Amino acid sequence: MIKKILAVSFLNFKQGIRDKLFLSVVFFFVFFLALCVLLGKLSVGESEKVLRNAGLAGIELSCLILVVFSLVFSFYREKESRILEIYLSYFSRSQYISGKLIGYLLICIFYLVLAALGYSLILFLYNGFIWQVTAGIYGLFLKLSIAIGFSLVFSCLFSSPTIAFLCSLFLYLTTEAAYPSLKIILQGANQFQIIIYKCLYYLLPNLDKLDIKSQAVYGELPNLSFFISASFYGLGYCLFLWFIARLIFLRKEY
Amino acid sequence: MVHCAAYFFKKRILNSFLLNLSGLAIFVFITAGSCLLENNFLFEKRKIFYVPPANYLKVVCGSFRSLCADLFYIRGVLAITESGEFKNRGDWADWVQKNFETALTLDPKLTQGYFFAGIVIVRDKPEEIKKGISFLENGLKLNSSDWQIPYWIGLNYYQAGNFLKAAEYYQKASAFSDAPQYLKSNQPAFYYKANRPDLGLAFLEGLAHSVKDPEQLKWIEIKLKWFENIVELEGKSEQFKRLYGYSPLNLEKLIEAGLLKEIPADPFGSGYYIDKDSGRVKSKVGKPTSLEKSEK
Repeated sequence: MIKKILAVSFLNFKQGIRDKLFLSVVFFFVFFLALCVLLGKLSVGESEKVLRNAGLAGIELSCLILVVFSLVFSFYREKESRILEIYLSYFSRSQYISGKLIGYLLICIFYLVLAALGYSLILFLYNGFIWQVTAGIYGLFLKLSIAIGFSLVFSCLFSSPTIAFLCSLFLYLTTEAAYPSLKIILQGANQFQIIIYKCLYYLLPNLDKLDIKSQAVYGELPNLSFFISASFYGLGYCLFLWFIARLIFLRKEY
Repeated sequence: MVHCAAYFFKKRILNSFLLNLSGLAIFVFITAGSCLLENNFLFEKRKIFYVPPANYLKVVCGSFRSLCADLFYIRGVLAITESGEFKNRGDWADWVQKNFETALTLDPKLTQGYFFAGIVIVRDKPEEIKKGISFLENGLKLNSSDWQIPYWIGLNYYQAGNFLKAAEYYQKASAFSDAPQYLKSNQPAFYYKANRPDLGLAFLEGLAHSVKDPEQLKWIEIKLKWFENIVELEGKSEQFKRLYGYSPLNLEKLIEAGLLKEIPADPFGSGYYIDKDSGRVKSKVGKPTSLEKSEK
């Protein structure tokens, strides 16, 4: 069973990194790094910090677009070109979904490693490198793994790739602003509404809590217990989303 | 001729030639069009000097808050060069400060932002210095972990001539563990300028007890000696004034009046004298004589 899951995931990984989209995102990131250098030059007195910060934000955004776009559209391409039927004749539905999730997590790691190398090189060249930024990239991986999980759920749920893509993207953006929004909403809410909103907030992924970009760029990091609990939360949430995606995929007819 | 053209069309030679020619013609046309638009229809661009409230930005930006702060920081740096866009210098200073205020509300650790908005754009006019102090005091509420902010407030008070306040903020700045040592040794000079050398003396005595490094202690003791002499001479000068009803013209008058046996040696070089304009005892700047001796 594990062999079959790994086979599907490696097929997805190979397909993902050979895709034109992967190369396009890499090119986009190279240009973004050039923009970061420019931003660093413009921010007199805080060049290194701005360079680190802009680079991390660029890694996050480019990787988000890569994994969400690539996963959603490859899922629908396989469905429309009947490759899915071939897959399902060799593998069970659970194995297919698990392999897809692991495959895209691997693509995410591969891209993050590539981007981190380019980013570190630029930081070295401009004397802005500190090792803490690599821990910041780990935080990004946890966030993106949840985004991959959501993309998989939406791909299984909706028949339109555009809707699945937009839902994944907007959910990511919503969870970014969830905490301050909750604080505003709670100001005028009654007890019942407070319970509902709080439940909704805790049910949605708290991506802002996994993000340590703003600390990492100053060379400050939370303690080890944060990393352990954040890893449990991120990967646990991803597992939960895999479970939902699997449930939907098992019940759908293709 | 017609046959020849038909032949070329048939062979698609003329076809592609004409296509390339039309491409070139379009290129020439758009270049000419651009020049025409620039010469005849270039409207004056109106800049909108608006900064969204930082509290709204906090909600919208999520975990990209720090990046958003960086962008406003860059906007603030660029705004410093835009003074020509404003008729009133005060409006320009407000515009620069608003950009930095937003940047610093989103990321209070952008220390250089306080410097630009609180020091760089502030000149020697009292109302501008006041604006700088107010900005930095608000900044101190946002970020209380950087020694530079109280130091810059002190610098503004120094510019404004409020030496006691300057000394107060220098003291706050020097209390930070990463603050440079000169902040501590600079404070007595402010007390002296504020006409309170006794406070400077008390400060230096306290400092001498807290320092263990022999090199630093040597410097502090020289300054302490200098202050003790100043305090003594100013006290005698005051006594002279009370006795004779006018200020002494020079220090020798104090010896003549029997108030002083001799003028003490100045550890900072060229000797003490009474400044005719202010009536205060001053010392010419020079190398400490005791250090010169030790170097020899």
